[in-house]
Amino acid sequence: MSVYGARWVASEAMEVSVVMAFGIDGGIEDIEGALGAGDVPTAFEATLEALATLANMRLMLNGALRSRGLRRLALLGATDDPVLALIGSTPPAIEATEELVESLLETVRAQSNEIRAALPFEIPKMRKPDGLFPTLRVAKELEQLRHRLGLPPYDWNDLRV
Amino acid sequence: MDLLHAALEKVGKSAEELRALLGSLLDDGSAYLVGSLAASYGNRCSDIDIHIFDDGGEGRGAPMMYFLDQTIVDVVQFDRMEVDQLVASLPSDWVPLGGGHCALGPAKSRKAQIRLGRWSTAIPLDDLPPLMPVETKDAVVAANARGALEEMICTAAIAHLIDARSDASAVRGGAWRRAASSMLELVVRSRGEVFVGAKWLWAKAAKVGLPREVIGRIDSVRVSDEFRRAAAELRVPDLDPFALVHVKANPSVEEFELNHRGFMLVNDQHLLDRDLMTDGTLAEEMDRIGPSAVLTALGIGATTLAVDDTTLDRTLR
Repeated sequence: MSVYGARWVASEAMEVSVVMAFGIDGGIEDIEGALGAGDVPTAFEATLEALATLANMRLMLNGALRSRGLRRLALLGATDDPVLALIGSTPPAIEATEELVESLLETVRAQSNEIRAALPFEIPKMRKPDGLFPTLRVAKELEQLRHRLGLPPYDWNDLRV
Repeated sequence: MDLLHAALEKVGKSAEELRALLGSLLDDGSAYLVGSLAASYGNRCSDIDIHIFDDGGEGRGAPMMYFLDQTIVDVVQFDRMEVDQLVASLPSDWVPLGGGHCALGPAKSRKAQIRLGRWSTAIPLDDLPPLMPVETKDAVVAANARGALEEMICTAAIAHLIDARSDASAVRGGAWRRAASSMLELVVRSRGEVFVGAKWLWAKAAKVGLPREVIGRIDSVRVSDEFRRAAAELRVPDLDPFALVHVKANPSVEEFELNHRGFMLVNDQHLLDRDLMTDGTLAEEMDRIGPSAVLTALGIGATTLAVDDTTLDRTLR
C-alpha cells in the first residue's frame, strides 16, 4: 500500500512527469540518434544535458523549480550537485569516446527509472504513436486533481517556444 | 537534391509523404520546415518541425503533434505578422566580436532568439520565398550573438559564485566548463550559425571553421584564468561580470511575515528570509550575503541576473 500527498502529486510529481515526457524521453532519443549517426560529441553533449535535467528533477521532487540554463546552474552549484563534478571531470566533447557516452547513457536510463518509480503513476511514452492519447488522458486527470485541490491549471504555455 | 529533400532524407522521409500527412492544413498558409533538420543538423531521430504562416491572428502557436511512422511531426501555426514584427525589431547597430559581429542594445528574449534561429534557416515546403528576407542575415546574426553574449556574461557570473563557495574543484570546473561552452556559442553565432540548440554546439563550431584543437581547448576550460585566456584567443572582450551583472528581485515575489520574522514568498513555493533578497550589482550582493545565498536565491527563482546594457555597450564600442 502506498500513500502519497495529493498536493505533492498534483504539483511536484506532475511537474516532474512533464519534464520526463518532454525532456528526458526526447533527450534519450537525441543521444541514440547522434550515436547512430556517429556524432559522438553531440551525443556526449546531449548526455550531459540529460544528466543535468535529471539532477534538477530529483530536486523538483522536493519542491525545487523546473529549471534550465542559468537558474539550473545556480541551483546545482548551490548544493555541489555531483552532476557538476561530472561535467568538470569528463573529457572535452570532441575527445569523448562512444564507450563513455554509452556508459553515461546507461546512467541516464537508470536515473530516469528511479525517478519514474518514485511517482504514483506511469508516464506514457508521449513521443510514440501509441503513447500520445494515454499522455493526454493522464494530463487531463492530473488537471482534474489540481482543480479539486484548488490549484490553478498547469501552465502548459510555459513549454511553448 | 534540393535542401528540403536532403533535410528530410536524414529521417528517411520525403516531401510527398509530409504533404500527404499534413493535407488540408497546408491549404491556407505557407509551410516551412524549421529546426535542426532545416538548419542542416539533425539525425535519424530528429523531429520534423513545421511552422505554418497565415493570416489567422496572433497568439496561437499551440503545437500539434503528428506521426509519420515513428517520426514526430510537430506543427505550429503563426500569423505572418509575427515574422514581420520580429524583422522590424532587428538591430541596426553592431560591433565586431568573436570573429564575427554582435549587436549593441539589449538582448532579445530567449523565445525571440529561438524564433530567429529557426525562421532564418527555414526551408519552404513549396515554391515560396525565404521566410525572412535575405538582407536581414547580418542583423539576425548580430541579434542572436547579443543574446549569447549576455548569457555568457551571466554564466561566468554564476561560475564566479560557485568558485567562491565550493571546496570541490571538479564542481568549480563544471561551472567554468559551462561558461566556456556559452563563450563558444557566442562565437559560433557571431560567425553566422544562429540556430539555437545547445547540443549542436560542436557541429556548429566545426561548421564555422574553428580548428579542432581550438574547440578542444575551449572545452577544456576548468578555471577562471583558462576562461580569460580562451576569451583572448577567440577575440571575445574581457568582460567583468562583477561590474556588468545586477542581481534583481523577481517581480512576482511577495513580502510575507510570520511572527515578526520577514520572508519573501517565492512562486507560492518557498519562503526566503527577507534579508537574503538581492537588488544590486553582483559584487555588492556577493559581499553582503555571500555566494551561497546569492546562488540559492537564484536557484529558487527569487532573483534573476540582468546585464547592464548601457555599460556593456560602452565597453563594446
